[in-house]
Amino acid sequence: MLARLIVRRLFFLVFVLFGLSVVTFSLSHIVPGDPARLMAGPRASASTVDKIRERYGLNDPLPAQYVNYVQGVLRLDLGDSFTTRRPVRDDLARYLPATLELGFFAFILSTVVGVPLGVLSAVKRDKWPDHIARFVSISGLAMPVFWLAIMAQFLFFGQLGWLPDGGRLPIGSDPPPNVTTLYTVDALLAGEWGTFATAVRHLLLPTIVLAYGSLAVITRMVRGGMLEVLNQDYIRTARAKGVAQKTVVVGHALKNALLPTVTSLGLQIGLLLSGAFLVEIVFSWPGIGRYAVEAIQRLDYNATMATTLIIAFVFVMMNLVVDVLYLFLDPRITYS
Amino acid sequence: MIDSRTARFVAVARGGSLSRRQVLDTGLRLGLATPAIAALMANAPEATASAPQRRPFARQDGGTGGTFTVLISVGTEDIDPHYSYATLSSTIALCVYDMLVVYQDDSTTEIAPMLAESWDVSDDESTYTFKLRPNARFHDGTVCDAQAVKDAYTRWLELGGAVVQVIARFVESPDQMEVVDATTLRFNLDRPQPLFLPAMASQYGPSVVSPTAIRENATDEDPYAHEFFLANAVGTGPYRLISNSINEGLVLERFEEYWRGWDDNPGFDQVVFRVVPEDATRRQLLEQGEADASAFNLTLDGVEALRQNPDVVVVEYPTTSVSWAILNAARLPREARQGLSFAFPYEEVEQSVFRGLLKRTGPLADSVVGYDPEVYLYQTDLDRAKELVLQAGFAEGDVFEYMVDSTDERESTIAQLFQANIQQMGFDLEIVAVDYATVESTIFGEQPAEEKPHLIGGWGWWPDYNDPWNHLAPNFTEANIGNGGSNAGAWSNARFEEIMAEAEVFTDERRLIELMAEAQDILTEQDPPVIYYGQIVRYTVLASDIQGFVPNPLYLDGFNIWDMSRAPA
Repeated sequence: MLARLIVRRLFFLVFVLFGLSVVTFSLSHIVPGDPARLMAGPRASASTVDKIRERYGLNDPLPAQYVNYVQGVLRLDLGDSFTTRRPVRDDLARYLPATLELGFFAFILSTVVGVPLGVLSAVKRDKWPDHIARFVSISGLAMPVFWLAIMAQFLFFGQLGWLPDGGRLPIGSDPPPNVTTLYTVDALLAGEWGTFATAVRHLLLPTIVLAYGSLAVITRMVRGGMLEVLNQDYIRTARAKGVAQKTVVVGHALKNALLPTVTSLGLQIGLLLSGAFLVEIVFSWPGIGRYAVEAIQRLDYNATMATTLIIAFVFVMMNLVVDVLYLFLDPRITYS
Repeated sequence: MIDSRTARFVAVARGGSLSRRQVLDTGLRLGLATPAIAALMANAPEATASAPQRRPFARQDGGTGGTFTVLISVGTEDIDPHYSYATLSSTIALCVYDMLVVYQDDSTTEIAPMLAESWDVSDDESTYTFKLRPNARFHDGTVCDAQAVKDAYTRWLELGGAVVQVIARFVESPDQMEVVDATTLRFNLDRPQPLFLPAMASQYGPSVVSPTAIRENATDEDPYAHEFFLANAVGTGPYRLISNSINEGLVLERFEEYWRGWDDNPGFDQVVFRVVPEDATRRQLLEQGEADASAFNLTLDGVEALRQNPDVVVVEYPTTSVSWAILNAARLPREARQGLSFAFPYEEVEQSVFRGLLKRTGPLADSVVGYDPEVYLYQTDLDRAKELVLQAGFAEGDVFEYMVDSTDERESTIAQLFQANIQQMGFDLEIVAVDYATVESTIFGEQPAEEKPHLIGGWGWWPDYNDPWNHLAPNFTEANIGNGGSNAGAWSNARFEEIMAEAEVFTDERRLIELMAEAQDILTEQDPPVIYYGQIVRYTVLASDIQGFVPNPLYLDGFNIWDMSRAPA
């Protein structure tokens, strides 16, 4: 059954990506502007601009451009970026790992802090741990990630000097030998402890900033779920039977309270990826968020299409993982 | 160390019999442990093995050049000096490449030797013979001789990049470059070309790239190795490129065999161009002493704050760049254009918007040949403005469209100030805020001028080299109306066309100056195609211990990097 679910979702994924590609392609071409002129610069002659148009197939009719693009994608050729002049595939290989590392640790952080904080908040309702958790969650939801990023950087880099301003490693530093593309993990695997510490120090601030919004959502969802569950009869019965508080909370209540949270975790992936666009700019993080922003500004159709499709792909896949997790968390759930 | 419960968890997971409870329990414990791990990591020692440092460090030869870190706001996707017109690319090129000649210090008229130690110019200025230095070497170790320069400039000419017009105006064929001997290269231009030397000192194009690197990286589809030079550089300059991670930055290293030598000049061990997209972060890095330079890429508030900071110096210098708002001649008769020129809030723009980084001029900057110190400058006079606009056939209440780049805070402010004046006159100004790509496509696009807005703000120009024709022709001649030119307002003036035709092939500078005086009068008082804000004053912020920097109005955002070093502590 699980295999059928996955196959069916992957089948629908093809349609999702196709629809998204049509919409993104149409929207990016509707926006006024000439990418060839932007590439050449205002001082370039008309003939230079024409050459660029020809080189990138921009003179072709729009349907032909779309068909060419899709044919390329089917051959895993995402075209060349107008911005970097390199194959988009190479650019993604270069920039995607940075975003994945940031997103991965932000997701981990928001989950492993958000869930316990939500539980604590519910269990200690209206006591100071609850007030702290509510402050964290409300402030996380209220503060724009861009502003939070600038403030965090100002405080921890500019004023206190505890953490670096940005980047994955200091420029000119040699990254660890590539195994997983995640600098922290690769540095550990290579036993490069200094590089590991440096990579973590660089990762810390953007990760916390990026995770903060998701953490807030997760905390609130877990708190709400837990409060609902903790008032139910079976919890009261368990307590009446003398079951230990820890067992009641973790063993009985949390399991049931987590189901809606898991749903939101899938959505948080989307939030984290979109948040990464802003966080990467403030923290000079060389990921696809920055790449996508520059691509959009420069009317870089191929790069815009690729980053949109990648994000959609990750989003859909994570939601598939969530659906699979449902089965794991609650055996009563079946997909017919 | 792994605790016993975690070890059990791993063992059970490997065995494939992990329960939901175990997952949740371990997840919770990890969650509580994460802040502690994060705190420990924050205090872990920093890896500094190969990280650039601002403070000087000992070189193997005993020097203490240290690292010079320049903050840039975007990556440089194309640093090929024979292709890219990007100012940032030319800033990099000035560090890693040499040219035959260079503008002397801050002069826009005096030419100094570079790879050419001397030159002869024929009496009719149609033949230029350069004597090259015998000791110049490329970063790949090969000799930079006359054949190498010819090969490099052949590439510049035949690659057909955006910057080709800088040389193509003078040299049509590689055959016009004659290798007389190993150190002598002659350019046989077909007619008198008094501007050839200034053009060969331009910041756009004349870099001498290694022919060996071209050959080694050429392919059938790419015979001039453009793909290689997009992100790589092999020149004869004082610093050589050792890494380019595009959107993180570039690292240059001192080229020990540089022909000028390093005996009397400590220079730097490394020059780092670091990409920092956020304005506030660049300012913080300068304030914290984590970076040494930033060229014209801060907010005006940031610049003002840094002016008060004793650890940095804000070096301001005049440029050849003039900013303006385009008047659409297809929709605005001459009187209306004159009237709108009187309506512009010059003083507020100069004082409040540019805050001292603007000097009132007409079409030409005062550093460009032919600048007329008596050029007519409009002053804000709303009564006169209204009279002229009404004379042009407009009626009170009419609305003018003013297109601006919405991301340009300065232009948006100018538009609002202008709008207030226009409304005070009894008309209205509709601000059409769009993204930069739309502004540029409106200016260069094929759309008929009649369909374009009445005004487009925030445009401007500077010449590739010190030549008024090069500055004016791309913006105001008939040939630049429509696709490919920036005469977006389709402005046309018969006498101006004659002047430009003569100025393009001038041989007598006195005559050129006469022509330019007339041209500037046409472009201002008689028949204005644009509203001139003035000449841009650019700035470079430097750490206060950096010495030797001399800005040149024709090398925007450039560094005379070989002359620069850090003052001893």
